[in-house]
Amino acid sequence: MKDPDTPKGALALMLVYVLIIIALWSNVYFTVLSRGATQ
Amino acid sequence: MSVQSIPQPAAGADVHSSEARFSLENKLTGWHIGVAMAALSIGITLGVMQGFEHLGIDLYKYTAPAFKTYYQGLTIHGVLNALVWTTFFIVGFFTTAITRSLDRPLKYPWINVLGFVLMFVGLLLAAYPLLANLATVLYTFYPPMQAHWTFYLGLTLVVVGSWVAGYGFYFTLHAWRKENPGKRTPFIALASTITMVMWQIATLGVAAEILTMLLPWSLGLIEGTDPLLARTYFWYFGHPLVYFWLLPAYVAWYGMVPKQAGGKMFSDSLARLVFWLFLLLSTPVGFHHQYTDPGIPQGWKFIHAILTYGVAFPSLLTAFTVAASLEIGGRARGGKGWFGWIRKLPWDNPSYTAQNLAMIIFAFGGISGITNASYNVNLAVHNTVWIPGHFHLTVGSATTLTFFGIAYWLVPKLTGKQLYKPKLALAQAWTWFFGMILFGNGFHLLGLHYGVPRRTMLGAAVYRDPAWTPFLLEVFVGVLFLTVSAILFYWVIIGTLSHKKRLEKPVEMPVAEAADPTPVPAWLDTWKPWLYGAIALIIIAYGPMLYTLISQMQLTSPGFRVW
Amino acid sequence: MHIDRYEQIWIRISVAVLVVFMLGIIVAGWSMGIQVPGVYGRVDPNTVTEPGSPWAEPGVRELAPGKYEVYILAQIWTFAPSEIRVPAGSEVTFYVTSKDVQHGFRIQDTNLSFMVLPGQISKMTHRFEEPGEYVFVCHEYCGVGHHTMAGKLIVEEAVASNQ
Repeated sequence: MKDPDTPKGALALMLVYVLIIIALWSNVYFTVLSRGATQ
Repeated sequence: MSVQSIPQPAAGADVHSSEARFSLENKLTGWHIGVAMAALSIGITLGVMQGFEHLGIDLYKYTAPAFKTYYQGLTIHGVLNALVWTTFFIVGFFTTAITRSLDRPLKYPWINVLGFVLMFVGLLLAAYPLLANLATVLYTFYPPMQAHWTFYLGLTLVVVGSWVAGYGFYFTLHAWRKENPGKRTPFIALASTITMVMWQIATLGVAAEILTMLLPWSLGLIEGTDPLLARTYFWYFGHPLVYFWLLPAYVAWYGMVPKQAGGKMFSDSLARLVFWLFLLLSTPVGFHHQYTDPGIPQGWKFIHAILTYGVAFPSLLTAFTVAASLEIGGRARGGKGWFGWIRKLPWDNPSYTAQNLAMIIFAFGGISGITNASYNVNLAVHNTVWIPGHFHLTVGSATTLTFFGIAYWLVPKLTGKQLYKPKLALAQAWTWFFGMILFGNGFHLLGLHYGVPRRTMLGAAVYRDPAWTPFLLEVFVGVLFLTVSAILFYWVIIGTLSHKKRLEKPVEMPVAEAADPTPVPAWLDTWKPWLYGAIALIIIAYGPMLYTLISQMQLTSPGFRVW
Repeated sequence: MHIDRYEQIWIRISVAVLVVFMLGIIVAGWSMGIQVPGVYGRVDPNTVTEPGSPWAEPGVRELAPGKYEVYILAQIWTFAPSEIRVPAGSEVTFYVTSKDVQHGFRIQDTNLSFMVLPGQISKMTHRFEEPGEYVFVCHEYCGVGHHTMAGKLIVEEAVASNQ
């Protein structure tokens, strides 16, 4: 069995995932910024 | 076709007599998940009606004696799906998970039977005002909307029953520890018990709300209530509630699914650390459900935002650790390269597929969750349909689809019958997956871009906008997929219950071994520091505001029946 | 406790992303004025419409050129007032409370979105630059008429004045 200490597939998936997180979160963040101050 | 990929008993183990040792546990589990599935079937039916309503098709006039309005239906949908389906399934699942993981029957079975009786009586009691349209207050029951007192008492009994079940589990774990000095608690038993302890701490909030405020108020013993204090008690409970929903899925994903994939637990230590972190961080974060409330200072809301980012961390850890555990299995089954192992996973096993699809959906639910937690970013999505979009991906998929996957080995285990038509079960998992993607995508976009409000009879809304229609259609197609999926689920389960074909050997609960067999460090098997830490954090994060709100409480709001 | 090398990379990435997001939140909140509601004050919902209370006569009041305040009373199932007019470019502060159950208030296409509780005052501000009609809705379930509870805020073309 492959040495479990090199889960390169899991890491690759996570790198894709973190890019999706950043893209989607930023989309909402900039939407909020565009709607202006509340104070 | 026999149930695939179910681990066979170790050579020499006498599985039949071991099943006989657990016959009461099996019955208890069966009663709990039976009630859970019955409740879900009604809850889902109401969800389908909601989907039609949003397109302007009102089916409530045909269901009038039973469900008079959209809002009564929505209340029952929330109570049955978010409170009954979940709590009953979880307690039932843990009854099997803990006892099999410890290989030890319940220490005091009467305690767990009592727990079930309390939960069931509570459910019947709450069912009366819900069906009689005396409690159309939604599952969050915010005062000063006032339900009939039987609603509050019924919910109290369900919660107290779950506490009692927990006590039965604690005595059992304690007995095992005395009988096995120096041994590490098996992961599944530990993680399940941590979940119940977290639940015990969490439910103190809603218990305080109901017992000190809503129940006496609805009985006429107190004349008024303070809505902000009630909300604060509720959301003290409401956030760890979602971890009560999520953690049982994590128990399966960490401790069972890797076995089903032919893999191992990538890191037993990290899995345990994740659960301890949830005990520590699930509760002191509730103000993120109150970001837009008046009367709570921005400073406290911001502190809870930071703590909420803290509790996001163990979930991000889980994504990697579970993926790595599955990768071990995929590679053991012949997968090569960066992603070849994914195709080699047991996609022909409906239990596996349902749970893996649940993980994928949850990845997106988690993103919208981090967004909701982001303090001022929440302003874009608060109380829009983005919120139900989010939670159908989490409790509706991460939890529910995982529970379906668990049922696909658990029901055969409890009944000794083969899983009925596994290909239908596979179709069930995939239709749920596509249904939730469409549903979730539509609701997220409607909420973020159009501000469409949640908890609202959209088909009849005076501000209904034709721009919403394409997205509502997307949501509706999602609902159609989910309807087909639900029908498939019940068809498979009922088919299994009445299946003629018995299994030759009883199903064994899948239990993943750790990739590294070295015992985990003792600090990951020790309760007191984590428990004291959890209590301390709650006192710090909630103490000052609760003190302020209680000492400044103004019981000025009378009850309203607004339906 | 041994942590796999790749998992350590993932941990660092996760923490970094959360930290960056949190910095974004702080900038938006404390430097750009995009804030959630805080504590403003309390009222007695049973007497909130009696003479002397700003909600006895809810509506728009001009404080100074370009600065307005609007007192809105939420009740089952209307907002009073349900039609609000302000000139383009004005900064408007909203003070909203309920005389009965919990409600919500949201002006579409803005960040104005908050809970409205009997006994509590919700305060939030927005500068309306563009003329147009903005729908506002109740977004917290408040009974069988909840989906009829809405209003509109009309931002009118600013009239040139020499005040």
